[in-house]
Amino acid sequence: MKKYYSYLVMCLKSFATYKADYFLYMAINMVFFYISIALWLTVYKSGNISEINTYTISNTITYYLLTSLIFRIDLSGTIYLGEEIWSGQFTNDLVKPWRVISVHLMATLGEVIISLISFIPFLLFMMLTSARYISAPSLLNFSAFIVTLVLAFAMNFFFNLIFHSLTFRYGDRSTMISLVNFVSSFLAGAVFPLAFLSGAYLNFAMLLPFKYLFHTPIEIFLGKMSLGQILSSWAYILVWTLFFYFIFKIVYTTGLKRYDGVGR
Amino acid sequence: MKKYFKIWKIIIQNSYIRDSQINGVIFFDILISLFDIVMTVVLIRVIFDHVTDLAGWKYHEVLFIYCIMKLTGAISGFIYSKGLRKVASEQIRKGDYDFYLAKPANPLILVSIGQPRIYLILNILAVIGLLIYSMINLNYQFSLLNIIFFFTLFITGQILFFFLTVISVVPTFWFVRLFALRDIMNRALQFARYPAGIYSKFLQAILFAIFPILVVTYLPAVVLFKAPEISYVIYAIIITIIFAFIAIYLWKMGEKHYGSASS
Repeated sequence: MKKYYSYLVMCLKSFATYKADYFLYMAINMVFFYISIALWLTVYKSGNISEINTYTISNTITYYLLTSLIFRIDLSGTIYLGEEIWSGQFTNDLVKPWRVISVHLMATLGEVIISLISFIPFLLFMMLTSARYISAPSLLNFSAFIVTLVLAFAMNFFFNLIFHSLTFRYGDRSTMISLVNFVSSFLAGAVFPLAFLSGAYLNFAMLLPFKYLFHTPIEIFLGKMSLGQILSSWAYILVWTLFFYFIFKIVYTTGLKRYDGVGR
Repeated sequence: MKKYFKIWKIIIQNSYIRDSQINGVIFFDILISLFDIVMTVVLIRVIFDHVTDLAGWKYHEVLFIYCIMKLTGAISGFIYSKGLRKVASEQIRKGDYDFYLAKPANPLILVSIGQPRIYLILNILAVIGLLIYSMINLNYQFSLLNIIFFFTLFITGQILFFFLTVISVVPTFWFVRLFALRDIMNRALQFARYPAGIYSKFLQAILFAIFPILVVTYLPAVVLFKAPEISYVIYAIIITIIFAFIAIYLWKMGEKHYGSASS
């Protein structure tokens, strides 16, 4: 356990080396939040709307504030397993006395932690500039929100590892992984609240596990879910996590047998 | 000028050969771009389920503005954005910019056209398809003046966008590891997705004059659908010339600062 902790600390130091880059990246990403505020304020005002499917303007703007936070734990660019398999660098991890996946988890955690820390000043700035539209959660909802994010992170980690492990068999999968993450984040409600959809589209999005990445945590934060619904969501996330873990194990184990360590 | 067209022709041929080797990568790249279009169309549809107009623009007009923005992204991606992004991410840091400085041609033009993504033609075609779809549904009768002003502003806008992209990567000459510079124009272009009327007057002033991204996409739509004002065309031309001077001046300053040592 100690060696993984040391690895995490090393990753944190490594990612923190280029702080200016992270800060600039966070700053330019605030663009989406302010465009969304402008857009939805216009929609609510010009349509003289008080609620869209239970979402008030405050709920909607809080939703976008939280999506900009959740995007900081997005895993599309923070797992390097596929890249290492493709380049042959994976061999370095394979011959060392540690579990390859644990090491990748530490590296991903390191990047996510740095990303979250760098984001704090920008999050505060966004909160201050839109304070009158932000809905504050209860302590219980806030705690449940954090727990849901952690669980969803684990689920998304194994979901992504499945596609990274396909590199053993099919070669470079980086653009495919980007596409999968792009589609899944849309179906998760990263672009707009899923509650704005109706009929078959909404039912389809609710059937999939991606809603646990954005939609469910934010609904919990906004107090739109009962305790029973929250607990059952956690149970579903755990089931999906196990499901993705087993698929990943199969793809990884069979893929590893084909690995020749040559790299490109 | 002829020299650069010859160079570009060779670069395009090489790019075709290179891209042919990575069909899978290109396939998924195109799918991402197409899915982005689908996603935005769904978002605009959701918005118009609740309102009849957005800041005075109807559904198909908003779709048209979005198409101009996507077209700008695709054209820049096809010709120069990857080349300029590479300057920000690699060439200055590794010292590879020497290669362009040593050539008997303008290095800014060489790095810009050095990495075309020819497969983006498919994206351009898809966006033009959506553009035509929105125009058919609008069923407008455009005057010749509307059309002339539109094309003048569209071409001027594309040139302006090039110079804005150049300005966005110039800091890389001073801060050698700022990968985030690669994404600045992608993010800035997001402001051009919707009609200018959704922004506050203060933000509109910034987006029309200080970082004139709305001149690139919004003004062409205004002269086509609303008033074909000559003042818009004159303003766009003047601001493009100003930003061209600024971009070239800053690039030259950056070159003077470039130490050629890799890190």
